[in-house]
Amino acid sequence: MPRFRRLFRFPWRPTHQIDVDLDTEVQFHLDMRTEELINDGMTPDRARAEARRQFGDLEEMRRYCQSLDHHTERLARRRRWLDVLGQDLRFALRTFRKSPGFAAVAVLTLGLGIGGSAAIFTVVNSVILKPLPYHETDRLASIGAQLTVSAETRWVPWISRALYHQIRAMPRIVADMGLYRFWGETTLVEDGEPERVLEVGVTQGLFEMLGARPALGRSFLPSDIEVSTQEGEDVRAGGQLLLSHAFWQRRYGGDPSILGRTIPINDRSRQVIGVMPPGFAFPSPETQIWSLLAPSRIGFGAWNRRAVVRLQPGVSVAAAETRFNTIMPGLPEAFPGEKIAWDMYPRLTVEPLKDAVVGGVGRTLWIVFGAVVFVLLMACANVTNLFLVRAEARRREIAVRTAVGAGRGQLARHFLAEGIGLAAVGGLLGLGLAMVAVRVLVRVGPADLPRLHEVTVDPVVVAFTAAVAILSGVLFGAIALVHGRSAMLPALGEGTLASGVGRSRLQVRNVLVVSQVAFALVLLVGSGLMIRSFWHLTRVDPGFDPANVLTFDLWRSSEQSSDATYAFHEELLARLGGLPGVEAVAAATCVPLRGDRCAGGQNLREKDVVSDEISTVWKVAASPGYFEVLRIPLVAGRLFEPGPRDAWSVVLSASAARARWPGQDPIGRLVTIGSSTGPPPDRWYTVVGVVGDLPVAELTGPEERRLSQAIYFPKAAHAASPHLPSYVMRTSTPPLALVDAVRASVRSIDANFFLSHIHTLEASVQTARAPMAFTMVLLVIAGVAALLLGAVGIYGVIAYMVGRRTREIGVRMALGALPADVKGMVLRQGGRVVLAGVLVGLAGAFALTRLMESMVFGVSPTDPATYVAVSVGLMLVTLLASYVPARRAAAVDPTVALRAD
Amino acid sequence: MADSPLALLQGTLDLLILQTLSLGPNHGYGVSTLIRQRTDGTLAVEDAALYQALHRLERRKRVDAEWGLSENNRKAKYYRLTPQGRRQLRTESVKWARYAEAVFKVLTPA
Repeated sequence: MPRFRRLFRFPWRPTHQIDVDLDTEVQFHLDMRTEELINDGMTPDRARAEARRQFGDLEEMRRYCQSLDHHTERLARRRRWLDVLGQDLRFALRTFRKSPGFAAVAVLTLGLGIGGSAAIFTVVNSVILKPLPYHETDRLASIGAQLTVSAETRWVPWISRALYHQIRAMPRIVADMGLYRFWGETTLVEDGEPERVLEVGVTQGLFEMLGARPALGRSFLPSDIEVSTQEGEDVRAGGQLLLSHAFWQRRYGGDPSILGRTIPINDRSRQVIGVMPPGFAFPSPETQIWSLLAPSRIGFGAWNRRAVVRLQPGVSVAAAETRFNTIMPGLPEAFPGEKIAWDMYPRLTVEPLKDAVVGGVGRTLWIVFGAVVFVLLMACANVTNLFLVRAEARRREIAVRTAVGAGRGQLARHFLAEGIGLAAVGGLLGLGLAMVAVRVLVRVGPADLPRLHEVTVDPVVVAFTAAVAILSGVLFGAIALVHGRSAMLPALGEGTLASGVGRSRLQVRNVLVVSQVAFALVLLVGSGLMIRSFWHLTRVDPGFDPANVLTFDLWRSSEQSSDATYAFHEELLARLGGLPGVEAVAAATCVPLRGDRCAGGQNLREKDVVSDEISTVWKVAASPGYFEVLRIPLVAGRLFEPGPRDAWSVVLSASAARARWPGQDPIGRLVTIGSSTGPPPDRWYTVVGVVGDLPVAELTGPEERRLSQAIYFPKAAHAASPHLPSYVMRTSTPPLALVDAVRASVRSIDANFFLSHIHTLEASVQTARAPMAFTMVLLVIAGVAALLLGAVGIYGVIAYMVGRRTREIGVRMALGALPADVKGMVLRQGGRVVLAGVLVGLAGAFALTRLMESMVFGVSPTDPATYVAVSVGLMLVTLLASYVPARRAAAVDPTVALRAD
Repeated sequence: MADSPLALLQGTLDLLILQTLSLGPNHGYGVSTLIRQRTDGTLAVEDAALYQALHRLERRKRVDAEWGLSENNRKAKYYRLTPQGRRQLRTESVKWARYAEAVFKVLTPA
């Protein structure tokens, strides 16, 4: 049996070595064979040739073996690498097990940081980053227009049907186009409770353009379009309906036999032809039914249709906008008979559909996301700090390991493995936390957060979390490594005498703490501003008293004459007023925060005043007693009185009166609603009173939008009003407990009426405040986390410093320093770091909070009070955090400290 | 035995190599020589094919390779059986014996 002396095992080989090795092996064979043949009596030349001949196809063999060996090598390398990583991770795990406190704190800190950022990232990803759930969304755009009214320009999301036809006929720009409109709510009467459903009309082919197909049944077909009977108007062509999945589930229990069934909507029989898939939310998640819209080709049409286009590949939004606007100058000539204020709509605008859907929420989300990333950075800084402390504590261990032959590479791998191991566990914890947090966020998020229903933890989020975890792991590993390496050299022969050795390390940690304090300050200023805004918001007098007011809309399930309706209202008001627990009741066509129901943009005309200026007011018809129910204050004059006396009286809101007659008495003036240039009406209304302003549409906007100018007419069921009124009831018992009694009262008068939108005004106010409350809560959470992390960071550094300087402190005290001196010294040290952090943070906050301009309410983003309060508060907390170690330093016993080591 | 050498059946070379290495670690030249000696040159084992088979077996972890010093103090690549290789040798040789027996039974006149 051949014995051999082993030279070495194959470690991993560089690539070229593989080829060299193969040549060596073959050469050995050939030489040995040649030698053998020479021994058998051949001449060396012949022997060499014969050996070569016997070997066979050398080239073929070389090619084959080379490719094989290279592959083998790659596999071996990978295996080895994994082996080594596994070893290192196991080792890291063992060391963590030896110091579970360190590992737990690090993992928890990281988990919270990563979890928070992953949760917010999930929302950002779903709402902003992810494409809309339509086919090739990047080519979808929506068209709107600039609306200019009395020198004020704003944007509206509308065009008209004539523009639709013209834009559609631009095949080089537009691949496809659809038009839709909100019909608002329509009445569905069937067995069971009638209800109001949100209907949207869409042109045929729009769903196909979006790439959406019904989950059940079919979509609209060209053959569904009936010839328009009302010329010049868009009609709900045909009677076909598609249902939203959610509506189908709720109202029909997901019964597939709904297909082909006719359901009565607004007194018309409509046939259900399909159900859209779950999650299909065009144009909004609230849409319940879709009907077919067939834009007439006659006339210009109302400027209130929404359009979505699919641009041709390669056509930019800007290019499309330029091309579309070439239509505009020709319009007045093309539609000469139309009474349209062409100069009110100077320009068409095009924006990506996603921007239109996401709207202004993007900025808020990015800010919150930025805040959470700050928290994550602070968490990382804290864990880095922990690592440094440990690296200090392990200098001896590292030195020993170096001394017994651990190479730099090995130590580096070891540190990286520790960092990555920690971060991996932290990342997993974070992912778990994020999943929980996302659920909570979706539950409490404001309902008008767009795409909220699409928010899910998906692979992108998991990848994000993994990337964050790995990056932070590498970061800790690298930092600990740098410090560990500097520790390698001297530590073996060293006691803890070296109070000066930690200087550069201390500096690194000081930088960490300064940045932590700075981050914390920025976050706290941000959340402080939001708190102040919210406080302002809750302090804003809404102009009415929302407590204990029930409100509901009234609808009839089939059309009736308006006389009967008026009698009905009188009767209903009387009955509701008699219900136990009801203090007062009134009706109005427009109640606070229901701008969708109100008639706005009406011109207030005064007798004998001819003016081009348009003053827009909300027109409200209210029954006498409306102001009393809502506790709207009377500013001047008197309120309506019951009875016929006030049939030709009106009441104005204070802002309307102020805008029209600044500094003058509005009482007694003769006014009406209508164009100031038209023929005068038969009879004028007399202004009898002025009341406080109400927020019709918004509660959080700037004052001019919040305080709505309004004119009140004295009859709830005003003949000119398009709706039946809403009712408001002030109750002495919990308002919602009265709903059944109210319903019964309505039915007992006329079973054809039903209620919808039943809610308390308090709830409306809360809903109006919800977006700001949401942002505030998120930022406050981030701010508090930042404060805690910052305090922990300060504490860590000061405690570390005290630990390093125990001996020095002992010497000082032995030489006569008082405990107070020592305390002061330590606190001064902490104070310097904190002060530096606060200064940096103030600069950062000043720069960054400008982004919050549109989010704050009632305060400036550079509100000095907030900045001062936050700075002082932060300094107090951090000084407290350094006070704990300072006290420990003051308690150092000189004899013990000097004897240490 | 003066007939021309027999061509090798598929898979047989691997079995021969494994068997040879079961005697102890050896380099390619050693394996080649041993096979020649034991078959008296009946089987034509081309050296190129032998080396290809050795590298293939290394790849499949049937054999392990390392550098060592040969009898005449030259650097040579030595192959040794791995436990996996030993297992394969066992199962394959049993299979081969049964195969040969079966063929033989058919060929032998009753």
